[in-house]
Amino acid sequence: MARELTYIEAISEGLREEMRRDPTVFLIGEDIGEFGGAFKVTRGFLEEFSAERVIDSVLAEGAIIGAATGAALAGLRPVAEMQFADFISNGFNQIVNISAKYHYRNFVPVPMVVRLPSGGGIRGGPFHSVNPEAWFLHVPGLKIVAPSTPADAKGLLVSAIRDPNPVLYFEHKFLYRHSRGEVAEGLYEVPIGKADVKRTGTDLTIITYHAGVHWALEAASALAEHGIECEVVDLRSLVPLDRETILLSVRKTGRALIVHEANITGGVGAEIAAIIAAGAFEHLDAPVRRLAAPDTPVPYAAPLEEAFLPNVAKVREAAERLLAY
Amino acid sequence: MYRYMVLMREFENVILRLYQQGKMIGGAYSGRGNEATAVGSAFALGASDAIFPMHRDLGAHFVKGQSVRAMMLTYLGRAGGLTRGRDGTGHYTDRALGIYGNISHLGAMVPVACGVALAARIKKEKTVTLTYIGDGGASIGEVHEGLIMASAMNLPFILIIENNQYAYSTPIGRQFRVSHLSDRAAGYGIPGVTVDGTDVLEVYRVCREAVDRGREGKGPTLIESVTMRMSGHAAHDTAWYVPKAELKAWEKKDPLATFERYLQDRGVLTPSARKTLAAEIRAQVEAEAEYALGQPYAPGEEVEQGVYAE
Amino acid sequence: MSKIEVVMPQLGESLTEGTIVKWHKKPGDKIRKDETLLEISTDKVDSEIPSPASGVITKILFDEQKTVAVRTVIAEIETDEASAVVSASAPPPPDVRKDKPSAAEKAPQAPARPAPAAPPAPAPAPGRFYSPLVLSIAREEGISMSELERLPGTGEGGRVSKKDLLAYLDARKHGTVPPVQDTPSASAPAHQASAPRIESALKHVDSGDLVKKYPAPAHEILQMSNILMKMSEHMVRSVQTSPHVQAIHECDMTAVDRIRRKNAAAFEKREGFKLTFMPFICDAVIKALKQYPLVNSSVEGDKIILKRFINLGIAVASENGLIVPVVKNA
Repeated sequence: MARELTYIEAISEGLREEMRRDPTVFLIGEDIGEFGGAFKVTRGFLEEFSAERVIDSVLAEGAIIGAATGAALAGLRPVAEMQFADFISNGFNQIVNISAKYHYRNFVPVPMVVRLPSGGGIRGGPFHSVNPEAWFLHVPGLKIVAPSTPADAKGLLVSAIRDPNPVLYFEHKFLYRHSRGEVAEGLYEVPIGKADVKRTGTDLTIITYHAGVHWALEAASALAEHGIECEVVDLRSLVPLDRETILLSVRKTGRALIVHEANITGGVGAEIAAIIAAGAFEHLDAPVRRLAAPDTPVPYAAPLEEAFLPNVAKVREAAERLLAY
Repeated sequence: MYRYMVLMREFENVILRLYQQGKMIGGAYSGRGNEATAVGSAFALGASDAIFPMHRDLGAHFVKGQSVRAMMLTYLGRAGGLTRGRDGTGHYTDRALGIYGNISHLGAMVPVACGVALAARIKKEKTVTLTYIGDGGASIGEVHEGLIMASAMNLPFILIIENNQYAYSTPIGRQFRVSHLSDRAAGYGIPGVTVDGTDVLEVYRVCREAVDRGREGKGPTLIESVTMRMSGHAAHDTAWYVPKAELKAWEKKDPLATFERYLQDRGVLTPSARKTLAAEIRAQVEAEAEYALGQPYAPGEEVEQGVYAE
Repeated sequence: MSKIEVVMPQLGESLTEGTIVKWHKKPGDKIRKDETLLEISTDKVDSEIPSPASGVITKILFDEQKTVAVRTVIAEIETDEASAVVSASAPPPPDVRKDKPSAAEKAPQAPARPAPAAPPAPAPAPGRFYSPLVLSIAREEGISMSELERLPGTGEGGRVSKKDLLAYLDARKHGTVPPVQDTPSASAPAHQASAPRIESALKHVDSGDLVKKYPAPAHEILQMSNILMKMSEHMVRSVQTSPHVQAIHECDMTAVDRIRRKNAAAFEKREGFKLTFMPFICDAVIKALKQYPLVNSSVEGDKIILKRFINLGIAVASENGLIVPVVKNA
């Protein structure tokens, strides 16, 4: 059944329907109950589910993440919400030292999800716009997902909730209401660890996620008018990375451009570039390049943030330069 | 109760000896002086209640039903141990017994324990969650966050601060300004009580009250159990910084000796029975040590397994 | 001081003789180890023969154009120069050969290498960078470095990109680019840019009966090389013994290509050479022959001899001409 939802509506729907299906799923976060959440993802949830399942927490991210971990250890499936991904740093210790390591040390699953509204383009400034996924790429025991479309957002959330491991679910704030698309009704899973080729092509592979997918698709359309066909690989999952899809694409086109909104140094792109160098060296007709934000905090004022963020034009230009190599 | 206290002491004696012989590597932590707190508190719990024991609460494991063999294998890092060698110092989880494994960042466990308490309430189980922290560990921010959450949400949660006078080499005078750590409870609006941590029956009584309170849905309790760390922070620490006089004074209040006197006074324990019991337990622990030393480690090939749950 | 005998080498299992085409040294000449001593020609291949030792040529035992059995001693070298007795070299005894090349003639440049299984790997030309992908494709398609070096590039700094290389391959296939390396069945080894034409690689004959019949300047007579002769013999014989039928079908190889690309890396890692279309084609041919055995038969009088085995010959173009290795019982 084809109907369109926004990215944020898809997340709400996935959350709501999974909570209906599985009574062990509960929510914990700041202002998510009566207030419906800072972004209104959980509007109406308190009415439908009890206060025991939609918990308005104290303002303490360490306690939120820790409590979610404990509840997961005790057999429930908590979905914790950070009001902004930026505040995950207050719960960093809980995630990297407790949630991530628990199963390896003690063989007990930690089936928890942490929802993290991330990303810029909303004039949020340095503490409301960050893309911190790379901090966690380096922590064994976590899974990390970052959907770019409403359909993927819903399916990945369902998969994340059902996964017996701690999953960091990065939802892009700008895409909340700017991304619209077809979303199937009912519950379905988008597998974690599988990328999606959103556009096939033969001349250049653009590997990206989140807002980058939309920039890449638009740039690819423009380039197609000049006879250039780009392949756009939407990672969807950052841990585990879908190496197979990445390498298959790069081996086909011989040119790889990695695009992400997060700062360039030590970002997800660096890991992917290493994977490509090792796995597709002989198929490369050009060096692997990355387009990402510069190594600065996210600035507040519009011209500064514009200069900071990648966009369609920058992606197109980077693609053209790579094609000219 | 006495039996468990003796077991705790004998087990740690053996562990210390193995450490000194190089047969146990890493760190050997002693709970000497903490036996009453560990055993008395655990005794107040029911079989389904949850506990997060620290490294000086060995006795609590046994009270909750853990076997000596399993603990020995775990301490010696063997494949048959409860963590298969992936973590040491009693950092294991045995949900059937209600035992949850700490990490070395002890203060960080407090919110996790809150989560276990929360889960119990969501599941409508009438169980409580007990966790411990030290006089030093209590300075960690996550402890505060956990207490804030537990008190705001009225969770069936108990925190025992084991005030054994020293956090490694830092005496309590350099750690906090209040006279009693239980004073902090007022800041959270919950009951706080200080108890003589060398008196196992007192500890039991206070904990029992807290457990009942939690089970009845009346919320969390903060307990300060005052005792002394009779050994160094770990076997590698001679604790030269502790004034000899202080140690001498606390020796008079040794939890085992105190309880022995109590039991003997009431004719429950005779000197010969005491000797027999001690010998019996010692033999048991020695036998388990012997057994565990002969057991294999997990193979190196296993190192990458188990990062994720399937 | 010792005498080294130079023998007619056996350059292939089934070869029994070789023809001396040209001596590069005469008696009394000094020679270094590995320096070219002579050129020979056999049924299968023409080859330069390097000297087995350093020293002085003391004897040349057979003249040019003489055919001798393999392992026959054809020359002798004295390995200690100082003690070599160098007689004022008597010219080799006059022989039957009618067609002594004129001094002015350019000696054939033919490198006459042993049958190459793959193009040789020369050093890259200085200056231009070739990406791993471009080099892979070049290897796969049998394009030598020298050929690559001559290609125009539209990439940065004149780099040859994959697009450029594929365009070149396409043009070459359609004959819109003069082939630098000859296609099979064409002609003599001619790889120099300076001498791409067959004629200039062959020896010019200007005496004998033929010259009377076909006088200059209206005619020019060239000596066929051994390998050219064998090739033409075989080809004519094949037309005489079997009727030639040609059919053309178009085959969409997309699926095959996909499998090939998917397995390329693993295959090469395992086997040490590249996975081309050839194995797939061979496999298909074998499967087809098994289904239609009549295609794999010969005629003897009024009988058809059906072969219950498949000997698959794969024609390989080399710089020296056409070679057909046969896979027995494929």
